[in-house]
Amino acid sequence: MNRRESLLVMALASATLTACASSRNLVVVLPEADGHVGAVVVQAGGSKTVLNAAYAADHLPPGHQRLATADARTVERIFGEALASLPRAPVDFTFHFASNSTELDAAAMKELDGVIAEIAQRKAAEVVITGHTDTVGGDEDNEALSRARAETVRDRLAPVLTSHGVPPESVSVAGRGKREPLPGHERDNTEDPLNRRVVITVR
Amino acid sequence: MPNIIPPGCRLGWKLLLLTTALNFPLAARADNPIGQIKSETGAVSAERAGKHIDLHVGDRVFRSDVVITAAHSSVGVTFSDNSLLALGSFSRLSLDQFRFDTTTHDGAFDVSLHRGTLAVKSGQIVKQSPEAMRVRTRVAVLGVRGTEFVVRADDGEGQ
Repeated sequence: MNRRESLLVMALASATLTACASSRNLVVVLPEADGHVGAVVVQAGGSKTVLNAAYAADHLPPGHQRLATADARTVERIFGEALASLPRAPVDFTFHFASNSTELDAAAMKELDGVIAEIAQRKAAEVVITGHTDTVGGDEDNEALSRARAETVRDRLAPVLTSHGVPPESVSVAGRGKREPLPGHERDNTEDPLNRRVVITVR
Repeated sequence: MPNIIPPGCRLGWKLLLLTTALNFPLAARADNPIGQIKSETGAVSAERAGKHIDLHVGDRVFRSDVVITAAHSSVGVTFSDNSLLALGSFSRLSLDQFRFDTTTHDGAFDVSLHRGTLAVKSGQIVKQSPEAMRVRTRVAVLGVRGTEFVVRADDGEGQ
């Protein structure tokens, strides 16, 4: 949505939630912790409405004068219970590798303390170990290499994770190949130690 | 009746066992968990394959489960693409579809909120393919472009 459209949405957002209190069907887009705001596309009865501003709200189905802005207090009143139950956001820890290698950089092992501390903060913690490569070579080789790195890390950490209450069935591995280079490190066919990494996600 | 199994029948049994064995990996894949309960208050349950089961922190959820909360109850669930969902009291949510490729991050995630309140933080499926997550209610379909939103739905039976 461009600036003009967002102004239009704001202009349309004259109705307040209290005016629509009779409708139980409601959607509200929330600002994220970092201030970024996403979007939800509401489709009902052949019409399509995009909600993409913080606290943009829509009584479902959309129609006459239903577009509104919710305030934080109303959201808390209606949705506080559900919002309080949202699980903690997953947290990532990054480990680096030497070129073509699956051996963990010794210094990176220190990251492990962070992983253990994060696991301790959670109930029923799961660990996802995701390998990444730099952009040298083809997709297939890099997928295999990235998965091999992830499996190396898993094999090494499995006993540690188990001893901290994360059983093997709560540990999974993935290989992303070269699909997800770091921002500013996207150039293809480039050796890049920063892209050769395994990300451990605790969720 | 003669106590002899004709050779053809024995072959049939072997074929049956063989095809069962061949089919098993596929069946097991369909039964992979798609998420896990991380928080819970009050009474939370699921309808799964016609049975009603209680859910607790650490339990897995599966495609086609219907997650249900009672009065003064809530539940928080993480999914394998890092999506986070939570339900408030008197809610009913069916997990209609969940596909997620951990290499490409391609996938689809469809849920139906039959009644109650739902809070969502979308995950990697939506990051890879905006609107690949959909929340259905009785009156609308929400295409999720990310990331945080809340929905309330009624079941049309008056509350």
